[in-house]
Amino acid sequence: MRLAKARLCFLMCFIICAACKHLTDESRSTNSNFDVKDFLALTNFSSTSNKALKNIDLEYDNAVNSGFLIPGNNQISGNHFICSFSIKNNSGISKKLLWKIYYKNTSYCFPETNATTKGINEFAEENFYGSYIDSTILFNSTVEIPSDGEYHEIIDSIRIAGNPRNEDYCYSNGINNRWRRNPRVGIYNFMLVVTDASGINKIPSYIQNISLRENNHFITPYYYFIDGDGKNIPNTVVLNAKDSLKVSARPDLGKGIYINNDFFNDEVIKNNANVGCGNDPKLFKTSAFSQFIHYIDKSAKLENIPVIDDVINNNYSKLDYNWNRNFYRKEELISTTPLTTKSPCETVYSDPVNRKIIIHNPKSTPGNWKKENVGIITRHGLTYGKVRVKVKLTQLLNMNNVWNGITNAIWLISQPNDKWNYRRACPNGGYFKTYWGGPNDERINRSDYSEIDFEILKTTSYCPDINFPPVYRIPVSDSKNIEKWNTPLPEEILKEDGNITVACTNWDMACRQPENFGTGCNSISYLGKSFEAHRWDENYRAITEKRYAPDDELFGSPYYYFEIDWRPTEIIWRIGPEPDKMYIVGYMNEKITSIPNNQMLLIITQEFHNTKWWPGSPFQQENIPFPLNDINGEIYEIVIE
Amino acid sequence: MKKLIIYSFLILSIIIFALGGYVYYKRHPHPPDGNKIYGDQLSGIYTVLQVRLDYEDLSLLDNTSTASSEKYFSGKNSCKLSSKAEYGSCLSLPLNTFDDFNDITQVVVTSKIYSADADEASWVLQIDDKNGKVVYWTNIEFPKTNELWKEDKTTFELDTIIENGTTLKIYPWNKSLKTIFIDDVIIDFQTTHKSAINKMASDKSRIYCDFESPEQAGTPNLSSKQAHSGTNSVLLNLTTEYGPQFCKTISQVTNDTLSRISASVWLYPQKEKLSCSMVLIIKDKNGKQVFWSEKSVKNSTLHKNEWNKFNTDYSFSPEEYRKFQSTDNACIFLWNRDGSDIYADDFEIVFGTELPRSGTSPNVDVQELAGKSYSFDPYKPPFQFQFFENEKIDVSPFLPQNPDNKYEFFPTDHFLSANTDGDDKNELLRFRNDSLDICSYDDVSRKFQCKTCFIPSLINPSLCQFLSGDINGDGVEELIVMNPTTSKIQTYGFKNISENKLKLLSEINLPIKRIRFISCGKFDVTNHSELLFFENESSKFFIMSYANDNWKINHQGNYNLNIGDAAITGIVTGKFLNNQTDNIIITYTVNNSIGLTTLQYIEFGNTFQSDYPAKNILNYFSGNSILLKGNFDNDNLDELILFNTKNRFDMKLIDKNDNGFYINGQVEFKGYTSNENPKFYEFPLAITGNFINKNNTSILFVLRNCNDNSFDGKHCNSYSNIPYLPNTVEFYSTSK
Repeated sequence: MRLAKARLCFLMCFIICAACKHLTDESRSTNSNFDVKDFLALTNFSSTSNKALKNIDLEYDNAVNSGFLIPGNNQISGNHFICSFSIKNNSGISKKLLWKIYYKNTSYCFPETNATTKGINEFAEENFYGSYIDSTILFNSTVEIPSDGEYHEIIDSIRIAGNPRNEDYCYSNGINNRWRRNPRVGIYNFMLVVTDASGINKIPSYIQNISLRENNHFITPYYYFIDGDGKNIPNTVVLNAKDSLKVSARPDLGKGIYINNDFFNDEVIKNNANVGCGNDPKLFKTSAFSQFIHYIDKSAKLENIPVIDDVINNNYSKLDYNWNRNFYRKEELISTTPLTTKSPCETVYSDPVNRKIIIHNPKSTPGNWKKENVGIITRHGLTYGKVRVKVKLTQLLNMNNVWNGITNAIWLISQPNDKWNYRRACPNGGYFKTYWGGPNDERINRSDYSEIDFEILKTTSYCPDINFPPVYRIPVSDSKNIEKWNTPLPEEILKEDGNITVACTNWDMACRQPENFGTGCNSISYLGKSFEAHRWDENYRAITEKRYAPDDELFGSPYYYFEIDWRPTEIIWRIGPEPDKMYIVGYMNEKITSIPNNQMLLIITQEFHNTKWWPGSPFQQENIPFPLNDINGEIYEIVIE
Repeated sequence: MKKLIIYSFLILSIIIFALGGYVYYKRHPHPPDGNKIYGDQLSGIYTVLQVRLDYEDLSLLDNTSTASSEKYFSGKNSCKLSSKAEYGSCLSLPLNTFDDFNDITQVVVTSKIYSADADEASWVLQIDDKNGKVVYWTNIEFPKTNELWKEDKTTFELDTIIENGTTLKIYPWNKSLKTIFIDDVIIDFQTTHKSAINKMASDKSRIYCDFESPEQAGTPNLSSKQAHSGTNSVLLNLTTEYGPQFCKTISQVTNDTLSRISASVWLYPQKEKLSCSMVLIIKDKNGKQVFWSEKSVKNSTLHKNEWNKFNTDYSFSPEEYRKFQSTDNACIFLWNRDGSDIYADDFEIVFGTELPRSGTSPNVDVQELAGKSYSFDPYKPPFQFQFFENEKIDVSPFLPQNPDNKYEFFPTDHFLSANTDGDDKNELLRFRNDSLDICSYDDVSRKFQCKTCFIPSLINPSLCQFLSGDINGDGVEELIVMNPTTSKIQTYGFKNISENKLKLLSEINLPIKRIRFISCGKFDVTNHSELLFFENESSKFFIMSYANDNWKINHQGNYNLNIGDAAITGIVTGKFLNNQTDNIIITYTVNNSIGLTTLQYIEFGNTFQSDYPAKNILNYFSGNSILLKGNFDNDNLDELILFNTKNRFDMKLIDKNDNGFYINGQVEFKGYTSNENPKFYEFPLAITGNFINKNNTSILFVLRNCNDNSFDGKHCNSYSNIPYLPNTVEFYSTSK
């Protein structure tokens, strides 16, 4: 049993090492003056997992105000992890020693050291690391420790909180909005530094107090003590905790949906609110979700056929589609754009019993035509993470493989609130200021817009210059010759008749910094698989990869998993029937696209796109009926880890 | 040494220049024009119909006495005008001959004229209404020349609205009575309407070439060694660098801008990495290149020794397509720079993008509704949908697929619904040459039971008008057959049928010579039906009653429709007003819309009274709609269905209130099997009757697709059997 545990411990250590370089040098736990051992960071916390790696979920209650706190107010008595270690004074005289505990997220971090220059990695300061919430607490002092040959236990406590460096951009009106730099999910390592009076004087103030900068940059203590100048300070011990913490986010889907006042006034919200949805203060504190209200682009204007039908359930055929496409006159069409709800809470429902969220695109009735988008958005921003959702969104194709016009989207978007959420600067010409617009629009050095998408719809997966769109015949509206108006789809489209397209997109705002920034179609390989990344032109703000997948499997089964694995230097899109059976459908890295590093929210939507955005699509949105029945989607689980 | 360097430089320069030229040539290939296998010209004017008159075949002409063999330009005859012949042979063309007559904007007459002095002779274009009255007349004189067999081109701009039912005439008028010979006349009926051109051009926007047809037999390097389809492909190799060119003049494919060309081809290469491209060249009318683009297969994944599909797409930016002229010629061809053998087959090229819908602009903008529900306007689209549900009854006896299909229905059949057995439901009557199928619906088996009866002395049902009515008040309807060719009215009874032969109750001569229309209904307060005649070219009506085995006129008087000169397009009798007697709805054409008016017999004044409110004009209908009546909504009154198939299947439910007629809804269908929606069929026939429920009217559809190349929507020589849309018969009602 012990052996097994030791192996597990080794394994966890390996995982941590593989994730990001950090202290592994046990020899530094001792020096000629004192020994330090048995550093445990989480003594008062037990989890269902092994001793070395303990799992904790982010506590959402009131996190919208305070940011995530680890542990949360309801997770451990005293709200802090109790840390302990033992010191043996070998100096021959009693003396006080000084210590400080640091922590760092090791799952989503840049290496501290630049592999080429061996100096500090310029991106290391973006890593999420911290120490005591009160950054004015520098090193703690022990009482006099006798040089008695005995180990003396030292107790400390620590809590992980947002904005650990207490950076200015998180402040507004004197309040430290720690939620603007929430703790990341993933594994946390705890590092103990013990020194004495001679050592402390050599540790620079910006290491003792991590909120301070050196030459306008933060220097991570992990770099300093492992590869930097701090590794040579005498009488100093640097030690990793034997235990580490894995932080996950599992927002509770049954805890309601908060409606904020950005889109609706109080009276409208009040008139539509129900027990699990509204804007009361309790929901404000506890709910992890808001109703998502789409921005409707004017270019999404549709002149839609006046037909109301249930494409999925009413056996709507390609003949129906072609007839409606050909024979309605313009006067009969309904001019509209995709809509957003006027009644908050009406199309979203948080089920407290089954802990799920149900969304629906509402049905149309004659005279009340609508293609209304629907969705939910999380309220707590995070940077990086493996965002996995278990959903049953609407099936997109019916038994005749006709599309219902919906795009199922699982996506991340930058948390909006002005300039605090800038992504890192793009030095080579900057980002486009807006995600819409043309090539002559303003470019800016820093952008607060980021977006990573799964968009799943019926379109072609072509990549111009490699695989051109199929040749579609032009129908003629001759009712006396069915072959003229009922033109068949090209055979390459029919070959994928039951498939939908999973489009994976990163909105990099056309930042040209990546060394392989390209236009057109370019291949990128990952784990032996090749992906075709497509950017329309050098001014196009996004880069997309597309894969066909069976609609029956993704949206015909009881549930399906979708995962955006957002890492500092790459993004991996996976889908699968179970978490352990997921496969990669998209891959991009920082060599071809600028990977966002700001704080983002998760959105899950069922939306009506103008198919002009998706050239080569076999069905055009304006020729697809308005929905006869509500189009439901269910969200069962969200895990970010 | 210095010289050597200079020489080397010069030689190198020559080589570079030569290579540069080669590279330039390679980048801008100029395939020989000889391998163009598609290419014809068209301007922004499109010929809808062309008629050729060579005076050898006179079948299209009136006044053929002017045909002469005295002189001729071709063949053996021409048209001779002389002091005895003021008017030449005349082309008379009823304008329902072709669908798109509404779009005709000009008529061009090209001819060869032989005359020393034609003086005031001219070509005449004349339009007569359906009564033969001249409604339009214009002439253009022949050219003043003494050249013999001079070619003349005369263009008539049509500045009048051509209505359905009119006849267009073109003939020469020899006003000065000179001697003139005319031969080889070509008459082009043309349109410049953008939508009409686009509709016709789109048919020509696609090229498909599989190298199998006889016309493609002369394609250079045709090979039967490999073929993706059929037996032939074209081989490109070291000696044959360019494939066949596929060309279209821009005006041929669109009257707008040419914004896109997409093309595909199947390739059978001998190796995987190929240097091969699909090339598009657009040249102006003088042959000067205005656009060039090459799409390489190099990035495509091609497998050697098997067929691979290669798609290309040329989308032009506004800056590019604005430079194109309608006379520019776009050619696509395959260019094998590789030298290795590549077989190519099944080229498909589509010029242009999807055509715009016809019509003006949507009447409804959801944004303007500001979240409120739209109130449907019964006079303008979009209209509410009125769904009719498939009755799902066994119609197998009527289907072509049924081996025992002696009652197989065709859309060209003549049907009538009548209560032949007194049970208040209608039976379905289908007329053949000398017989009648009577089909009754059986509630228990949910099937129609049919029997065939012979009709003595019935000749050619297509010439007859069939009516039914309870003319003797016994609760059973009789059959009335009016045959205008024999000017007789026959009356048959369904009671006491012996030997499957209908009993002829009476036969009389038509009491009125020129009948405008005839109908049967209960117009007066008696309990039996009468026959109603409206006389042509007068406002007289006659009501005939049947008594003592004979018909006699018992009411006559004058009516006034208040519709001026508008052409009546149909009548239907039913209970449309809240009174005891039947009424008539008359439809007529007014300004390309349909007008409706109700006539009710007022016995007290012995007159038919018409209502004529402004709201009785329904836009968005052409006049030639079929009228179907029935009680579709289970109230006490009949409603009207207007059924039009000219441009599409268009069925509207019409109702009437105090303000006049209005469109109650667009008829749509539910519950059909698979794809078999009536509106998809090329040749639908609709008949209404209370076949299944005595209180609720059903629509019977006989639904077929036609295999004829030029199906006119009225006659079909050969029916097609489309697997996904089988020919069928269906019943629909709102009762479910």
